[in-house]
Amino acid sequence: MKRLLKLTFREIYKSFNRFIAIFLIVALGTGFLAGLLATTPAMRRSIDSYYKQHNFMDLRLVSTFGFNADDIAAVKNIEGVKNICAVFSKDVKADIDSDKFVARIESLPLDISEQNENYINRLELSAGRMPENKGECVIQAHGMVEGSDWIGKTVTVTGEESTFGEETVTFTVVGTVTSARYFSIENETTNVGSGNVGLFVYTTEDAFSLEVKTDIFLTLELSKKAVATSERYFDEVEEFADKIPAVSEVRIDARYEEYREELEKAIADGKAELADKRAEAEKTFADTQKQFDKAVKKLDSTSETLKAARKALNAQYEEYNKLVSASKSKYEAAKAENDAETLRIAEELAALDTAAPDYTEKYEALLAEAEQLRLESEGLLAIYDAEVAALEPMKTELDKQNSTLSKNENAYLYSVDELNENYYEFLKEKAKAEEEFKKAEGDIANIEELLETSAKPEWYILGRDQSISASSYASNVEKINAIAKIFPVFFFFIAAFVALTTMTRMVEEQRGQIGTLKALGYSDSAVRFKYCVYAAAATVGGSAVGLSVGFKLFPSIIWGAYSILYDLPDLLSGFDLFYATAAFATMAICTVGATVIACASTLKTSPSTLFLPKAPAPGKRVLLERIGFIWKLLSFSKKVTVRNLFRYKKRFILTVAGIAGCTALLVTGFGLNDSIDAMIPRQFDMIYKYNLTVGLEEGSDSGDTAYAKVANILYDNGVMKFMRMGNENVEVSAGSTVIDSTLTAPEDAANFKHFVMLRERKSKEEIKFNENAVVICEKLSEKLGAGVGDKITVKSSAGKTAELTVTGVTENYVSYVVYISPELYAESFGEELKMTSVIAAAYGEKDLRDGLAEKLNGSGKVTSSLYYDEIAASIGESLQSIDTIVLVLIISAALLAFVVLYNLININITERKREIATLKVLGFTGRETYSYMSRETMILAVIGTAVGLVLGIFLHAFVIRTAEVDMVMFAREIELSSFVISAALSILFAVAVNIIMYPKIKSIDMVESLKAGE
Amino acid sequence: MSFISFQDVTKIYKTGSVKIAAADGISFEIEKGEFCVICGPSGAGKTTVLNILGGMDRADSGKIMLDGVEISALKKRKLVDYRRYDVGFVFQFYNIIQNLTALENVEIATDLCDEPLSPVEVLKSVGLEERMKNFPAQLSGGEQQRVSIARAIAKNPKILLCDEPTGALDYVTGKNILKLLHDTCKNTGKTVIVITHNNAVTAMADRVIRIKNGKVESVEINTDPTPIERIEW
Repeated sequence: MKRLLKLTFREIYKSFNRFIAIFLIVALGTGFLAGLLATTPAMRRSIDSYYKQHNFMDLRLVSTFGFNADDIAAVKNIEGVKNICAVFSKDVKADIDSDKFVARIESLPLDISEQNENYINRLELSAGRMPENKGECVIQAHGMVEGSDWIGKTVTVTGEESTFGEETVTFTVVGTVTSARYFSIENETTNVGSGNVGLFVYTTEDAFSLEVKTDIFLTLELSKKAVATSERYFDEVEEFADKIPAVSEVRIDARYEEYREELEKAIADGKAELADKRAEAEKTFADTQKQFDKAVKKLDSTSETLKAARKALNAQYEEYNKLVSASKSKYEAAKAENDAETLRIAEELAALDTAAPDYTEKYEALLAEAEQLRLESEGLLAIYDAEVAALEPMKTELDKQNSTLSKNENAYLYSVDELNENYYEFLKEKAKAEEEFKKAEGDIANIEELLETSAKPEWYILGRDQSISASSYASNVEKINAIAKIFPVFFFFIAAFVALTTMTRMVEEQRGQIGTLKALGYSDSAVRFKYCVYAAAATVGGSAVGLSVGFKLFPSIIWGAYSILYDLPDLLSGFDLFYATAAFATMAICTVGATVIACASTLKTSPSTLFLPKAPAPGKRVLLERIGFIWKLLSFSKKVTVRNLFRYKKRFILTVAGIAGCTALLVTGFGLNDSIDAMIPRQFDMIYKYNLTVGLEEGSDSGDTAYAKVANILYDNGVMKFMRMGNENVEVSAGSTVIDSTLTAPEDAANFKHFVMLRERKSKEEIKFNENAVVICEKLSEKLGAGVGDKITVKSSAGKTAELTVTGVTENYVSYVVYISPELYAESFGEELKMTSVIAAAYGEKDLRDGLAEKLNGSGKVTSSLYYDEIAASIGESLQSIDTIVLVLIISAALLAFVVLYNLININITERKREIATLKVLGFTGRETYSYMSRETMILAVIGTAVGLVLGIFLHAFVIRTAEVDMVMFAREIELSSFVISAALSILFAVAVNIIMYPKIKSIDMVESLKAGE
Repeated sequence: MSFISFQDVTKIYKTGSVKIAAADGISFEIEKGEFCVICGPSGAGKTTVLNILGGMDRADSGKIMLDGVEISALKKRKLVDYRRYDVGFVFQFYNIIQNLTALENVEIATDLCDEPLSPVEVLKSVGLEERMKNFPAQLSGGEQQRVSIARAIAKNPKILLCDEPTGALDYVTGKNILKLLHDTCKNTGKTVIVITHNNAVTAMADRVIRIKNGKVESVEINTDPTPIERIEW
């Protein structure tokens, strides 16, 4: 036995190239398989431990009514709840200095110590301290550099009085944190501002003035096997989630009842209060009115009295005036007589003849008369004056009376004015009160309407898959799992296959030695032992190296690729016993098993036969010879090549299969790259000709008002291309397959092609979309097995079903979609589909787009606005990480291809040493010998490559289909360049190996030719 | 000057620390057109001599001349030419290429040479007129060795080196082959050197060189060789 072992080790030493080749192939195969397969479990383990460490929620509950203490207590009592934590959370616009953010402000539990197990979604402090007092906060800045730069700054929130109780609230940043809820750089969405949360703020509970908590976080009692992101996990969480409605329904009813009661009470109270107030007011008003009336009456009597007084006074004045005028007229009459006498005297004077003797006499008489008259007149006036003077006391009396009366009269007028003014005030007050009552009535009516239209509160049960970071991580794990499953298995089997054939050929090649050993009396099992040890040594060694490198290398490369996307601690990679054992055992079965089988057939033959060279396969004429003119053109060495290729069929097939396998792996690797890379641009740049989806607030008019508003905003912002459409989640089925899909009905069927490119992928033929159209996406068609002309059953979200005939199958890469004309929808389901979204082509610069989003979100008529190209960019980013994995696949495939080629070419040379030696003896030069050999291997390589290219198409198709995550269709085509590169690499490796082999061929000793045949 | 001369040729094989002198000062001469038999027990150094003479191996020291050319001084490339044009080799195990017909096996050699003989004629002369289109697997051992000889002759070399040409053949066939070689020598005037451990064959040779322990034991000139038909062993 010892000698046999020695012999084995000498064999290893002697055929070191072969040994190393098997060693490397085994290492590559096991390392690659186990390493990649261990990646997803490691990723699951890592995130699971990370989540546990942060006490990350399993479920998050949100209610349209918020949660009161009773709600929280009810949830807490559901069986399976481990910990519960209720917080306030609100998405707001916030400023730090002049930087504007959309921020999510969340409250922290009162007790944030390590010991509080009910502190869910624990924050990890990266700088500063946790908030202790009202007005302090810690922040997690999305996509920003962590550090203390933020500490000391102030977060200002304005216009959120309903949440914080003040118009403007400020929070001083006292620390920065990371959270297990937001570890991805992907955007967390909201319906505030630009729609992406850019800042997470955690503050004390007392900062909020809300009465009810907005969010409940739950951790659950799950089994040990329910590792985060595993199917088991989601199943168990769902199992729990199914228990929630039983509780939530009760709570919803209770809260709703409470709410209604509150409203009813408010209405009743309001009404009562209004009635009271109204009665009181009416009484007050009536009293006041009475007083007014009294006052008016009083004034009226005053007015009468004054009027009478005035009348009397006037009569007296009249009396007085009469007396005065009587005196005056008496005087005037006497005066007139006097004046007439005076005039007559004046005339007589004038008529006096100055010459007359009596003139003087006469004149004198006349003058005296005149004097008399003048005195008389004066007497008259004096009488008159005396008379008037006699009346003066009366006048004075009267004037005195008049003055008093006027005063009284004025006082009266003033009182009237005052009364009028007061009365006006009173009326005004009355109107105001009336208005108030009206308002109160309106308020009550509003509450009444609220009561009438109020919907029951709704609870939303949100799993981790509703959190962007967690779902992104889970889906990436799925993607890696899908890609890293099939490909390495093929890879492994190709490696195993090559190792297997190598061992088989080795045993066959050594029949002479086997014969000798047998002839010497070694038992069959001893001989078998020797080769098995050889195979086992290579397998154990190769596996040890492969596994120890593979388990470290592959997970860390993949993890590294995702570190761009996620802010997570290092991967918990390690030796995965299960995969290690599986890979090693399979490989060992292949190599040792092949050895045992090969030994068995060789050992069956007697030693004497073994000594003789194995009857060479008879030379044969090949088909090419029948084509005489070509055959004659070939030199002899070429003829040998051709005949050789067809002579050792087994060798030919094994070699071609080995090379083909590697080429196929390369094609698949590059093809995967093509498929994944092409998907996003095709979906978002080619198929979707729009980039914005706006959700309309439904309102009472199915979104008509909202649409008008949105259309206006879009027009105002220069977006002319948009269309309203209806979306609905439906279940599509054909036969027993049921698939959740999105149904979309564009308002304007004829113009829909300007928004979504509908075409058959292979023929690139456009699919007509008219009022009878039912177009489904390719992946859906594939899954359902339903093509054009086939019937599918669609169940609407309202639960109605309709059977529809597919009129087209369109190219589509993301999600399952059914496009249907609204007319057909209405006809098929018996009701109109609500047109609650708008798609728009709003391309342009980021600022403009953000501005538009802000306007839309701020319009109050929009439930969401989403830019597809941003989603595309974010998917693209996550796919970049997949690219790294694909690159790993490609490099590994290339390595394998190289080693396999090396191995196969090495075997070809080893097996034919004698032939080579003979040719040398015949006088072939080194170059001639080399080209004689390399020509053959090159042809094998070319054939293998060609076969591999074809095989690669199928392998790629298979891997793609298996790797495709639900809802996603990878591009199915492999780019021509990938074929070219794969072929070029295979050929290049063949050439390289040939060159490496040149010294080996050169060093073959001609003396070999003298030895007995193999 | 003889056609072939070995002058004090030594060749030492090293295997690890063990040195084996396969040729330890061998000197002999062979004249043109002779049928020469080199005879000796296994391990005596016969094959070494043949290898060195055939240009497959080099001597460590000494001088080998063939037709006025110093083989031992040839560069590697020249040595290939030497094998190509001047040496015809007949192997113990024929070493004909399984994938070529008898005729093609001859042609693959003549392809290499400047002045080859007609392969068809040569095959006729070795008695394989009827089997020219056959593959080696369809031929008997003797017939295969004849193809091998035809291949060597057709190159029209200066010497024909035969390494135990009958080693793998039965008695009668072996004799026929030796006769063929002898006839070739006599009819074409080529120098034929046959290596054998079979002492009986020496009787038919013009010259017998006996080698033992890497040294020439004796060189005998046979003035009256016995025809092969009369040799028994």
